[in-house]
Amino acid sequence: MLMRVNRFPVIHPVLESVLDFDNDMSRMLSEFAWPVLTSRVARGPLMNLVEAEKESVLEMELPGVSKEDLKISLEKDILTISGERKAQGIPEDAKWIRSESISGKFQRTIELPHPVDPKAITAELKNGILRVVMPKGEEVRPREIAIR
Amino acid sequence: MTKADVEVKTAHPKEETETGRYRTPAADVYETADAYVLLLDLPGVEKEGISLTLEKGEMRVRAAVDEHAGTQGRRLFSETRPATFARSFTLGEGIDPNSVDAQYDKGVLTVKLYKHEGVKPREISIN
Repeated sequence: MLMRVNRFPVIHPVLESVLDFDNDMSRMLSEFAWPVLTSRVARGPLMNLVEAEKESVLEMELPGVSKEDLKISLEKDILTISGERKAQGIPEDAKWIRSESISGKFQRTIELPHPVDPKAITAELKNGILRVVMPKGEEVRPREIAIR
Repeated sequence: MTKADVEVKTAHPKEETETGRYRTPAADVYETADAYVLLLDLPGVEKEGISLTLEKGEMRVRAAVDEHAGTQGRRLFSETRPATFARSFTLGEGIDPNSVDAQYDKGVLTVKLYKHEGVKPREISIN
């Protein structure tokens, strides 16, 4: 129900083909430098999302990413986190011996389980972890639609 | 020199893998004229929680992640698990174990391992 773009480890196999299309499209449309691992592993930075009583809290691992290179946007209940981990610069006379970390652009889009008041969202980047706290917004009040 | 002076071990010692509570952080290494620079991704740890030890030509890095006990609720995404980052490095003869700098910034630990004076390139002035 939650996963629109992202895949996660316990996804139902039947949904895979639908999501494949979604993922391939989003990959073609963006400049992901993150590796495509196996079909059930998340693309992009790893994250945890917990829905508590009054808020949802998202934590994403973003080592080496500067605040200036990070963007968070919310459109209705779709949260998008995008940014770039700049490649490590080294002196001109230096040479790489090993390179395992992933740099480049990333983007993750998450459908939130509840409405969020965009003005109430707070985000903090500390020690390579982005923490986004999203208080639950007012439910849209039921309206009666007049029939003409 | 046939081999780099910093060898990155990819596997953990047996006692660590058996408990399943360890994560292997990504490691980058580059060499400059006077040092080897090691970069380790350690997101979510505090500087005080990082342990860096050098013993008998081996450098061990350990870093415990906060368990984020503050947020209880329904887990919608759970891609990381609370675990201790652990990785070891074999240091060659060319490195001076008494000359090591380390700093932690933005979730990345940078360790600078200086070379012994004898192995640094030197320019000899001609009289």
